[in-house]
Amino acid sequence: MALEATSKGRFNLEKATILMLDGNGMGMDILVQIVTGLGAKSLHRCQTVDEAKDVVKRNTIDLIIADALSPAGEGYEFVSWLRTDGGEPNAFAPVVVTAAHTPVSMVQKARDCGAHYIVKKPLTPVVMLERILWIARESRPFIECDAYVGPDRRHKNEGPPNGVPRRRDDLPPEVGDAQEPNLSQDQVDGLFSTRKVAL
Amino acid sequence: MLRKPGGTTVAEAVQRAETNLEGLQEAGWVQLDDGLAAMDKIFARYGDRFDGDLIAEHYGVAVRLIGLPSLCGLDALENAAHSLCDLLDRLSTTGRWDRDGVQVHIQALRLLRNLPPGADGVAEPVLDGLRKVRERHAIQSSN
Repeated sequence: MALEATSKGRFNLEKATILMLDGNGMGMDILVQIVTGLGAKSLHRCQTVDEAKDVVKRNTIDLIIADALSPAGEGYEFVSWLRTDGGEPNAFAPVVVTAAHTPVSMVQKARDCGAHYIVKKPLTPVVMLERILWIARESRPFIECDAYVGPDRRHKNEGPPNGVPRRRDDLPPEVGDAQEPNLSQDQVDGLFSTRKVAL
Repeated sequence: MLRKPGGTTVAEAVQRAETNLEGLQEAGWVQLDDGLAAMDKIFARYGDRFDGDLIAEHYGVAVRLIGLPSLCGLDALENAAHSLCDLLDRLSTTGRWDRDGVQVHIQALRLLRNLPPGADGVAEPVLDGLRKVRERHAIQSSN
């Protein structure tokens, strides 16, 4: 369900250290005004990937909001670098990538860079906050393999496509024989009805 | 970290951020107009043949426009800017040239920039026209 802009739910970004990367001056200004409006106080503003890498090497970062830096897509490369060479704990930092437009040639790079979410511009405060809150509730495991480092790109548990081998930690497809007697219907019903328990 | 005591409500934070953004509108209008002027100049340089370098340059300028119309309350212009980016990217990928399609976009950007308040009814047919241009190139977009 989408975040309601009028929600009275509370959150606290005051202690979060946020790195923002955007090569466009107005793009950075927009992002700063959104993030400070949401309550963040500790911000690192970077106009280039080199600046961002320098900040990552010297500081512990709680959240990274990096523009894709279209059309070359250097923002995606920065996120890939972060995941493989950013050092701990920053390599596992939450990352939101913002993108004005993703050319067809960059779609795979965008998908595989290791970001938690990609947000299409124009940015709005409610959407940015929603993504930050989604990240806070994140339950996807972190994947590290030769081809990809980042949060599991699967948002739904639909199993692998036909012909694609299963992952090491996926449950085996075969279900073995029962090792214990089945529950009786009364026992199953009992799982759904409230009852007093002596502690 | 988000759950630490203190902080703010979603409603207050969103309102504060939106108020902050209003402070950028004046600068946004200036950059928007500069960007549109730059697009006109690039279009004037096109010939009748596919020019990959010029299309790439044009795409770079168009991408930098994204976000500015919305900041200034011009949602239809924002959609048109996205449409132009889609088209330029497709032309760049296929190597096909569609001067008329690009020209229609440039004209639409100008029209939508200069719509008087309350003239929203004019925008939809314009955006529909741009959709038809994209369909000619089999571009699927979210607009």
